Amino acid sequence: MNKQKIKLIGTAISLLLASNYSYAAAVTLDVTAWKGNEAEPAGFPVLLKKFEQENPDIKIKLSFISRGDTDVVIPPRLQGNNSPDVMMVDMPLVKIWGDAGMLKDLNTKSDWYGDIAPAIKESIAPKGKLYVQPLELVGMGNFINTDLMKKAGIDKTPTTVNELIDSCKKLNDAGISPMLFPSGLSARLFAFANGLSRSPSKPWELGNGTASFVDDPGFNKAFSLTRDLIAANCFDPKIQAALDPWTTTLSEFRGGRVAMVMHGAWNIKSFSETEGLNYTLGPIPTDKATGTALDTFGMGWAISSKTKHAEAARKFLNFFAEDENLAVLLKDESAYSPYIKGTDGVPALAEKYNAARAAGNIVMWPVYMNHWPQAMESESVDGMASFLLDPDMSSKEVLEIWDETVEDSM
Amino acid sequence: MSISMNKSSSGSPKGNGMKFTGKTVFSASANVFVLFLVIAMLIPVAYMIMMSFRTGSEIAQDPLGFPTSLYFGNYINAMDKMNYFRSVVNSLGITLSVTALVSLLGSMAAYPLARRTNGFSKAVIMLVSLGLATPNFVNITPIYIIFRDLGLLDSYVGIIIVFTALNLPLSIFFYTGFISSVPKELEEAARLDNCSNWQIYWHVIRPLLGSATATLSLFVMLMVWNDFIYPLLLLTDESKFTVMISVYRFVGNRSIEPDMLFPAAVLGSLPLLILFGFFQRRILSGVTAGAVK
Repeated sequence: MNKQKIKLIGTAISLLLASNYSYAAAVTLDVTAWKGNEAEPAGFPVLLKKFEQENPDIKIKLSFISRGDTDVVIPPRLQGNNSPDVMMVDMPLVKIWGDAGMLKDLNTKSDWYGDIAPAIKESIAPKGKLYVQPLELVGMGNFINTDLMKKAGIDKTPTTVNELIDSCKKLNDAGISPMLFPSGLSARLFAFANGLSRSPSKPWELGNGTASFVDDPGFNKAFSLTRDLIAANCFDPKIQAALDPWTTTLSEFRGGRVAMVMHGAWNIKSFSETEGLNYTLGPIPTDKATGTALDTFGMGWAISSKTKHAEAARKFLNFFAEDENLAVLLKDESAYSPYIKGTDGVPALAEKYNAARAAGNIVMWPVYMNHWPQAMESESVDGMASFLLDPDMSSKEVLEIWDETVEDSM
Repeated sequence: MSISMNKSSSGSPKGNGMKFTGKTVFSASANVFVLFLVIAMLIPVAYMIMMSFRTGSEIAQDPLGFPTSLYFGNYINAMDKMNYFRSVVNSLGITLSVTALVSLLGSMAAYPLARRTNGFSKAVIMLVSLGLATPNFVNITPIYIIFRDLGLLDSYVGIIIVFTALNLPLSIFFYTGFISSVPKELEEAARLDNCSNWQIYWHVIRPLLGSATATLSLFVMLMVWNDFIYPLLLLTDESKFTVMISVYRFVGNRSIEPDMLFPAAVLGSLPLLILFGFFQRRILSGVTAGAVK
């Protein structure tokens, strides 16, 4: 074998080793999320491609696991020390996994934490430990079919309860079904927005037992106002008690068979794709002139405390903290930025909802801020369903059970 | 439906018309009831199929309406995004392997348990029965950790072993009861011909288990095909995903888009329906064997 051949073989081996080294240096980040599938892409296809282009040494392996199954599938992986590097979380998950030491402290000195909106800033780092990077705040308000409202001679978005009752009367006179009010969501939106906006107590005081629901004038008033809506024939309470908020309610509104439905802004994308549906998103009618915006903490990223790729995971989170990138997700989700000067993704049709926010009339969905225990999520559905089935019952009967639920969760 | 129409030979007024006996009226009513029951069960399936051929706007306008034309765009979209053929092959491979293993291992374990009626056998049967009563969420973490330590995560072998293990208690319980009813004389005759225990199982007992195996296979196939929690937990490589995980990609967290979900659901169920249709005669003859003496 002559020297030239030996040199060639040597070069080939070096090249091979170099390519192997560069392969080994590439990190594959295991990410789980309940977004990014066909039904709710949340801009992920674009964003993940962009991230990989900007970070050629990091590959993203995204696994779709629905929110419901996250509770089942992720804990074994966390306990088995084989967790995903980055996980999509909401606040109840942050509480459980963070308290169990399964999440990495992202540190309140992170560049992006200083820019977080005041409404959630303290709640996401309650004991000085920051386990979640918020991705969105989602509005929940009153969707209004503008064509049906015009037919009934209504040209103003109802922002107060009195205006809502007046709209119901006009719609009924025009032979139009005024609204759907399923206990699973809409009834709770109305009760929580009215209860929290009128309550003298802070939401977390109700959720930690310092204050009680049964003595709260705001929540008692909320039930009384629900009774007023029933009296004004805004909806048939017995039918609404068991109506599915996620399928039938949405298809009825999309089909133009009902004038109003209180629901989440995440529907904006699919409603806007429905031919012939003209609508707006208003706030939840309360005693405030602008109405009340009811925001919820949608989702965020958390890093596993056992990750072997902490640096890559941080880069991934920092990418989503950049306004230009987050704006893509927020536009697809029709959501608000969790950052003070962030670009919101909510379209102009939510102008009235935005006005309520701008006026500072915002309440946060208490369970998803960990202000109330998670058990209140199902208990509030049961409470509203009981009330709709028997509107003559005293609100105290429902509110006593809510207090007991809080007490049991402590 | 059978209604007897007896013509009386006596020519009496009572016998001139149709004569409905109590038995025939009961039989006719039962048939009508069963027919309604079948229709009631088929309505959701028919609805799903009808919706899968309509556009999103059509469904929104008239959710209960019939399709005015067959729109195949939903299916093309679903097949494109589901990696359909690969995931069907994965599901078929896993389901058939598990069914075969559960039938074989279950019957092998059940044979001695059915024949040896001592305290130990009874204790083992009780222990196996516990497997039927254990909820899934109790098993899921230990299974994950054991399979991680065995290096069986993200492998076909791993998922097949898990499903086999999860279905074995049902299988053993099922076969033990069935084998207990097989006359011992058959085995004694084989033993006179110098057959070993294995030969008796293989040549005498196993061929008699056709009806039990058919029924059991139905349960096991449905359970394995439709489950997506264990594949979701144990498989991370998308090329190994089962068809139900692919269907699941079309389910939203906060809403359901029928024009996306329904065609995916039809496609997800179709291979199993074809499989059942293909083996229908064999399954039915197996299920009903022994019902008539």
